[in-house]
Amino acid sequence: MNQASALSVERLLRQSRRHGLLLLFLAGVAVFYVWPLVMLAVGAFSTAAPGDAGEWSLAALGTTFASAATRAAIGNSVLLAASVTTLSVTLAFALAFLSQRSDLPGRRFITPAMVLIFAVPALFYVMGYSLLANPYTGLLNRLIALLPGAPAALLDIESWAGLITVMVFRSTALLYLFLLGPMRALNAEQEEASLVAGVPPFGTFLRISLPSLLPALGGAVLLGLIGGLEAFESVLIIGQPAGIDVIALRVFDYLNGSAPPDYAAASMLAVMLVLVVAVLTWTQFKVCGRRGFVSIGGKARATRLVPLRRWRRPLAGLVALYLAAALALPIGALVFSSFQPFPGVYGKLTLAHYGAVFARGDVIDAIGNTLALATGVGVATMVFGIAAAHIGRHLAPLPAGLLRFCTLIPIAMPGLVTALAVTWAYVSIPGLRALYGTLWLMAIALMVSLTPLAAQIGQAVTAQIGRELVEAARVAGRGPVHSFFDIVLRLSLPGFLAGWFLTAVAVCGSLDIPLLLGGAGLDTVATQIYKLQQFGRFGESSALLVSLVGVLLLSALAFLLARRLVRTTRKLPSASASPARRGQSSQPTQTIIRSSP
Amino acid sequence: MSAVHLRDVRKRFGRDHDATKAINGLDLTIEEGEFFVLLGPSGCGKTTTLRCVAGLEQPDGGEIVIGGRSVDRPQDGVWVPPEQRGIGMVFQSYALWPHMTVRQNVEYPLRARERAGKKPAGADALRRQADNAMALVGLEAYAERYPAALSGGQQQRVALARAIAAEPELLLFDEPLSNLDAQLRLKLRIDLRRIQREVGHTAIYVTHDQSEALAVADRIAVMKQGRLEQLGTPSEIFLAPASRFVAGFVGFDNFIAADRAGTEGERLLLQPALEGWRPIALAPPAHHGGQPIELAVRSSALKITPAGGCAAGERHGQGLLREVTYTGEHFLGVVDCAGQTLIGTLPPDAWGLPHAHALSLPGQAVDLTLEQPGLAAIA
Repeated sequence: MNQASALSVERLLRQSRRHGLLLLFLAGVAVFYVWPLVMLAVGAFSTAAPGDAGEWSLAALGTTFASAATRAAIGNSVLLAASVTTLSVTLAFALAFLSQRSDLPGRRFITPAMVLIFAVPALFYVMGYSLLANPYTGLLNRLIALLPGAPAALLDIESWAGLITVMVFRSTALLYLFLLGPMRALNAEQEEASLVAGVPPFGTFLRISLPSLLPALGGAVLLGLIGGLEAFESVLIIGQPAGIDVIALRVFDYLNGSAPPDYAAASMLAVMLVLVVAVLTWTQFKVCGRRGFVSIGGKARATRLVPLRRWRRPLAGLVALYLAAALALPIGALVFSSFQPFPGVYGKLTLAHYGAVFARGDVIDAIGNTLALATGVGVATMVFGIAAAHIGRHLAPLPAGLLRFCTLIPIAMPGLVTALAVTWAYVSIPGLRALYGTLWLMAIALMVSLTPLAAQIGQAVTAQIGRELVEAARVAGRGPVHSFFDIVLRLSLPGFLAGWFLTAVAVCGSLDIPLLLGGAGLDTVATQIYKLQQFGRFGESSALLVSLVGVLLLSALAFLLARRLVRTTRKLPSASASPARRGQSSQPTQTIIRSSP
Repeated sequence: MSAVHLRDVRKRFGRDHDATKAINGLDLTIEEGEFFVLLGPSGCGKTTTLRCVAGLEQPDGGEIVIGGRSVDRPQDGVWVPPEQRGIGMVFQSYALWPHMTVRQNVEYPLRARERAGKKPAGADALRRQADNAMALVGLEAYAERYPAALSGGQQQRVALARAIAAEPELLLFDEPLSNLDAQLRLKLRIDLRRIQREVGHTAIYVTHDQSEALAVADRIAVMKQGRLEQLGTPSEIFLAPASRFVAGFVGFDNFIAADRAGTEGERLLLQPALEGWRPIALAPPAHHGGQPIELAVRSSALKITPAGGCAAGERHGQGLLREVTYTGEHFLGVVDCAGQTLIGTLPPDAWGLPHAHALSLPGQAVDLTLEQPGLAAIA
């Protein structure tokens, strides 16, 4: 070996040692986020189940899309997405206008109500409606039946109309929050110029403000379509009984409803869904400049309000009615039925369901599993999200962009698809095959699906931490990993805890991943709630659900209280930025929520 | 032990054709115990140079040696991370950690070095060292406060205490005073110099403020577009700038083309290229070959007096007063002189200022006299 090449080998070794940790991190990211998607695509063209040696085959391409049921499901998905989007974009825009730009009485209650509707996991929400308006024991039907001359079962939630209504409520909440920022950011001076030119307020809104909102509205339409195409929980609980099949449900059926599971067909359909959603997401990023996320908070600007005049009161009544139907009724129904002795029987309220449900061994196990998942997955995902954002800031633009792209991949993957892809990925690696059928694989799938949320929070949080704070720690003698824990993670703590809470809520509410990757002894509270409901044990199911929501609410309150206490005793600047940047980062801490409804 | 050598250091940002060269072949030697200032306008590469010395940026070429140890030699894959360079640094924004008290901030580098096994000291010694650093900057009373509860000047002192706490071989300052108001800046400048003398470490200090540089430096390197423009003591830089760039940067206001009219002993006789001016003898420019020579004149060195007030042999030229502005310390006059605009001062005695109406003066013919200091020949 000549001297020059020895030198370059030595240099290469030094370089790789210097970047060793970083390379390891990037390789881990690729394995975690890219590998499952690759294996999913490979699986769609394989004849075997995950982990088995199969042959390459295009068969699934033909059989999957030739199947009448699948075609019907695709048609239903498109119909559902289109109708839900049309209605919810209209409603969300109207509500955002009323809450931000009009003098509607009580307009300040709209945003918190929307946040609540959005934050309550789909499963809980849908169950509330199911209890409220199913044709047999639905509370509303019972009330209506009390009226003289009314038909026995007027409302049937288990129908196209019911499904669309419930999905519209949730989708509206998401799109409302999405439109809130652009609606607030409207240029007041442009509007004033129009007013001065003699155009009245509402006309000014239509002619000046509306055009500047068009990109945001376009983004909202795409976001609504994505949510509609990915719909799973709502359809599972209230669509399936009415015979409404959609893409996600088909994927679920290929895996759970047929023996042996048709992995190729499920993967084929999943790949198609991912492609469509990826294209929609990409278009949405293009339209809205990466506003693929909803941000709550931010500074409200003093903009001119449009007077509603004689429409004030009627509109306020309509909004109140909407909020009642979308929020108060389902929650009320849940709470009520958890104390109701038998569905449809109105007598003395009872705590019996609570006693019964917590006496079940499998429920106790499920609580343990959920607690472990919510804690572990939440912490791990948030540490990763903050680390990825921190590392991204110190990388050259190209690797930083790639890293960010990897963390956003799961946006295009509904939970069900993530679960399937993770199965393919891990079962295909001999040493990791043992993870299948354990809580670990479920945890990994949940982590992958929650990464975009964590990465987004990580970005928002680390952007507030001056680069120099970390550099000062390095100069002071701490290495890169220690500096991250001493400074970045410690200063991210408020955002970290908020993000942990959000991921924990999402873990508790996730039904698709635990259903698909679960099994004996692998239940979570969500799957227990679903199973109890499927067995017709509505009382116990709602008791468990109400307890879960109660615990989540209490921890949210405790978290907020603790944060306030810490702030007042420590007098920490909330932005935790370095002094020179304090002026620039005047935005209050933002909470950013994943876009998928 | 802690001398710093930079040899042909190069650093560029971006790639390929839109790369900008932040440092373009810089050679510097900073002696042990020296207070060395990198001076230049924004974007001249001074901060990048400092960050390369700190290890916060990696140069693309050349070599950096601190205290005899090569810490950067990219062509051989040598790069010592900042935590292993044994330095202290004061950042422009101070970079105090808001979740730690003053004491915790100051103790952090001590603990970090203890953990790294460099200086096993024990809790008492560590505390004493932190106390010493805080005493040196006069912050003992604030040890238990959080940075957010301190004023800008106090925060600056904490940053300084943190930088010197672990007794690093080398202290780096990145425009440490630029976020403070003018009065505080003057006071802290003096303190900074005192503390550096007391601890006796080598210091590299980056600033764009020439008066700050003159006040603290043993030597100054003026940088322009990633290159060294002039290296010298404060008085060399201030009195004998080597180029028009340096002269403009250290406050010379007028540049008058001139011809060599002979020598006068060691000095060069210069004939300003303005009609009716008489020659003036000055020290020759630092590196002069055949290139054209200019006469650099501070406004304070160009006296504007009423025409005919001084003998023809005394004055250097004549002109027409266009405008007078008051700066608080001087009356500045703008003079038209054979088509060139010059800025000079109006001696109050000669004009009966400040009682006379300065606004009524423009339009008068005036005599112009050049007086050292504030004159330099540059090539």
